[in-house]
Amino acid sequence: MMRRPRLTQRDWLIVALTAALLAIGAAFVRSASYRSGPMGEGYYTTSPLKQLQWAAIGVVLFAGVLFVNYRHLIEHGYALYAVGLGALVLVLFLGVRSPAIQARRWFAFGSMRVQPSEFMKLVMIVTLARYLTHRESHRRFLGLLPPFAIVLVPMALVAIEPDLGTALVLLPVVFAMLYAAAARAGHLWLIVVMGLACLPVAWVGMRPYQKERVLSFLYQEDPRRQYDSYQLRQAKIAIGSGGLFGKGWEKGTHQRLNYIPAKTRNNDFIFAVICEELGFFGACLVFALYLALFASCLRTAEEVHHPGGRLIAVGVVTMVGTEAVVNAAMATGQLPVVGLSLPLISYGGSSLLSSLLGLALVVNVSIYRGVALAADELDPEAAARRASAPLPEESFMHE
Amino acid sequence: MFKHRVRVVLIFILGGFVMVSSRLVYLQVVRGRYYRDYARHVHLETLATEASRGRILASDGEILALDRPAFNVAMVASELPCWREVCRPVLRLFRLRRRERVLSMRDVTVLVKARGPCRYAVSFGMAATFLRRKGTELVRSEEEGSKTVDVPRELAEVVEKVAALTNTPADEMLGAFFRGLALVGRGWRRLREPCVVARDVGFLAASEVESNGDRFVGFRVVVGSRRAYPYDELACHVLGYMQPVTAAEYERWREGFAGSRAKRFLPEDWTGRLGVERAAERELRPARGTRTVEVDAARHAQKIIREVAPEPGADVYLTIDPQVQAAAEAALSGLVGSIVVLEAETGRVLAMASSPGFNPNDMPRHGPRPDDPLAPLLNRAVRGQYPLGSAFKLAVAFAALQEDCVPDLIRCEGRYYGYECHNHYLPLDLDLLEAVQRSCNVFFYKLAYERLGIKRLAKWGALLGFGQPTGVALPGEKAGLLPTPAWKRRRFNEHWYRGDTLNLAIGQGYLLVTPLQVARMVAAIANGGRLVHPRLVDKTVEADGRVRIPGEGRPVPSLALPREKLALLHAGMRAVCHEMGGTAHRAWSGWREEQGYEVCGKTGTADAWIRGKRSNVGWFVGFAPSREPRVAFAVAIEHEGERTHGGEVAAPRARRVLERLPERYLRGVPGEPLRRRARRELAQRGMGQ
Repeated sequence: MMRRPRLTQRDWLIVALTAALLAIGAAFVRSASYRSGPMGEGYYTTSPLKQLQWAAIGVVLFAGVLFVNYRHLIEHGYALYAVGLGALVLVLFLGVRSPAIQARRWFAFGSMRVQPSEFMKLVMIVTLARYLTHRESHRRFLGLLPPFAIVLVPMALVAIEPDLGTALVLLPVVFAMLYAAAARAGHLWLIVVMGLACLPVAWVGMRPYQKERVLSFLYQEDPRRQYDSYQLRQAKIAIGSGGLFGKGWEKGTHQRLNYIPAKTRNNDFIFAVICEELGFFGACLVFALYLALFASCLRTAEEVHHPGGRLIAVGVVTMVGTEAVVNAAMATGQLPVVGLSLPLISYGGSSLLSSLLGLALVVNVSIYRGVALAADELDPEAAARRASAPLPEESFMHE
Repeated sequence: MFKHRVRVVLIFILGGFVMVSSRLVYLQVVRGRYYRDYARHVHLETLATEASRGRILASDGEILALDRPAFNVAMVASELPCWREVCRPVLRLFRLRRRERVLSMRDVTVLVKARGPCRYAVSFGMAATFLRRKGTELVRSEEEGSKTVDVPRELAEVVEKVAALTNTPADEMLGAFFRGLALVGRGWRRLREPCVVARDVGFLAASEVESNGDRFVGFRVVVGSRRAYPYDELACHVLGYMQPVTAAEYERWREGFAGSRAKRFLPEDWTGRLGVERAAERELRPARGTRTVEVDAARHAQKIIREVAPEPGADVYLTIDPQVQAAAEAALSGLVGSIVVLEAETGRVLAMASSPGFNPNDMPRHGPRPDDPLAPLLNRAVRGQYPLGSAFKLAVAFAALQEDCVPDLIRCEGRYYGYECHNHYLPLDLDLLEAVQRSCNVFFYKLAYERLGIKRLAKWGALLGFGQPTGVALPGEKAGLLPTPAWKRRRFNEHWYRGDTLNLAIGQGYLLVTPLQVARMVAAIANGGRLVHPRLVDKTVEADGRVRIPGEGRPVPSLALPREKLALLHAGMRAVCHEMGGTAHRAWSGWREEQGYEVCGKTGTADAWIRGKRSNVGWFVGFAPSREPRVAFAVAIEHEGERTHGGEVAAPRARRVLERLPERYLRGVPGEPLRRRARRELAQRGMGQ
């Protein structure tokens, strides 16, 4: 079955939801970029403008991705993986240090800074899709080792940057993709339990500021430690004072008076800003938009017969969804503070681009679902071999 | 089919959102009010705004005391780089749990010990009454505790630098800071409120501190005010001076002062001492205003939310005339004593001088030492109690005239029951006029003992205001002592002897008076028997223009004496100054030719023990002019060692004052009887209200 790539109604829905979230993001990056000064002379930083630039680049890349069949990407999954690893290694040596936290996460191109770990997440998804597509070894427990190895290498590299948040977000992605690729649920649970058992070991390897964050999370209601979790405390005040309906856009006093530190206000803690200015209902609206977006993407995943495409869609949704949930949970004090941004909303070019590219991949999967690769046409034999290879779900139908 | 697994992924994400939403329900709905109030509490900062203390002005509008702007250096505890190290031990001395609070605080002791350069140890002790939780009940508990904090080197270095700049001892600054900190711990003050540690540092030091914020982190210049007395020592005892409130005063006034919460004291506030500054504190003290501003995290004010304007204190107009006052002080220079000049008809105090004096601008740090034997801070006009000596004979004569028991002549043989008289050649028959002129002891012995009797003498002494404060608007006025048989029985459990009456007749023995009491008595004799109330405060004018006249309408006790009897007494007093044989004749010689009017007076020389030494007090009391009395005065000079006569030591001082008395006090509106003028003035003031 061959057909021309075209955008279905649902693809348009995905695009519309993405655009809506981007718009919300732009509005609140604007609101959060206010800096109060002495004598009431506040000003706005240029970050909303920069964010718009990044969004423009993102839109162009989004459109660009739609012109390339995702199967090409899957074909070149390993190559992309190698390039990504190379970038991660390079950034450890050539990256710029952020003055606030001693971490090398960014490549600097002029005034723009790019964070390779954000893109590595996508590369990882593609690579895993490549690995899991024509295989059923991961149905065995030991067969789970290679996919975890694929994930753990870049994770380790990201973790030593250090950027624990980004590293940890890879874990749900690999679990979800393995699960969607028909790995046994029992095996996955076993790994989760084993992972939890290793937590004390991880604690030993954590940096002091990371430990502090975890501790301040654990003791957040303890008045003796309240000074240590200043950000979190202020975020909670901002959120709580927003109430049901919020204080109105650009009227969130707590954030605009600099109580939420300016550094994290428009990225890590932008959710607190939204909650303060839009209130509980506003936050629910954002959640609803996210859920609608994820539901449409996953619907696409259900409909796609090509396992690689489905895995990509699942991977991207898991990635974006995890980031959204973790970021919100972090701002409300349900998870320790890790540097994760709210996808599509937070200020930050790399994160914005990676989310947009991820969603572009999903749309790509949707529009190319019936389109064969040109290579298949040139090499019908290989195509037939691939076609005859059973999809996991079909081969294990009898279970 | 594994397609459902895709949905499981969605369910997981949905679960995540539900988890966060439930948390949002808790934060925004359940605890929404709490966080809203909390945010408001954090954003809004209410700071006190200051207004200036009322001025003190002389009767002619000359400003005697005023607030001038001054730069103070304050420390903000929460901005100090090492505030935790410094503050926590103090703040944790007494932990307060929920619902617990401090009821009162006593004995805050802050002892700063310098242990070499940049090394200070602060011993901090406190005793307080707490309201403590015991189970569900709140009970009072007395607690005390102490702690020694080593001031971190970095802080000590900065404090020393500022101390050098501002010319304030470093330990004093630290002491002020820690005292302020004590209140933070009690919740009576906030950590981020500036605590003044150095006052009136001058423009250069202030600009140095203000422009080097990076070197003096935690220090701030706040504009305050400093009391200034443009005439330095002029009327220092009347004005008083300013001093920080003591712990006890703060305790009493921290909730409110003069019925106004806005006038309540803060621990670094100063309060008036000694004179009108103290007596009129209620009127002078400004009411603080408040300004609530929205502040950002850096405590920068964004906008004013609410503002209550402060109210400046009321101006206090004194009856003091600076010219007369200056004359009186000049007359006293180099002596120990006091001069009081009253307007005889109205009781307005034109001058009240006490010597030695002090400069209120130097107070309290550079003022006189507290152990100065001459007690410069003592206002001798109202707090100096002396025997009156012969000048009391005026009261005896007045009483006898009132009781109509003055014989035409009394013979003086030079002694009476062993009590002597050596004021004139002996023996001599004297009438009242001559007895006053020569100050004959025996005349007054006989008059008091044989004719008047102690009962009637004591009655009239009391009616003339002895033995009780005059009620002038000054703190700590002494009552003096008018001895009576009943008093003696109470005090010593002894009978009243003849000698006691004789002693009292010449103003010796137990009698103690203040110069102001004497001036008032003389004023009563001068004006025909009206015992006026000495008035020091003419009026107070509040910031909004309202005028209040204190003590208005108080009935003036009248001890009216028939004109011819009064004239006899006046004639005797005139003779003291202007007739040969008058005890002050020499001091007033040539006065009539020079000034064109005559003076009535009476000398007095009293033996007294002052500062543990046998001394005497020379008095000269009187009024002028003799025909139509306008001013009454009393001069008292303390003198150690050999006996000096009041006519020699005190009368020349009185003369010097009267020499410089402005014309207007000797002459009313032309053609207007004096008493009518006084009545008119009172009526005018009543209109002005």
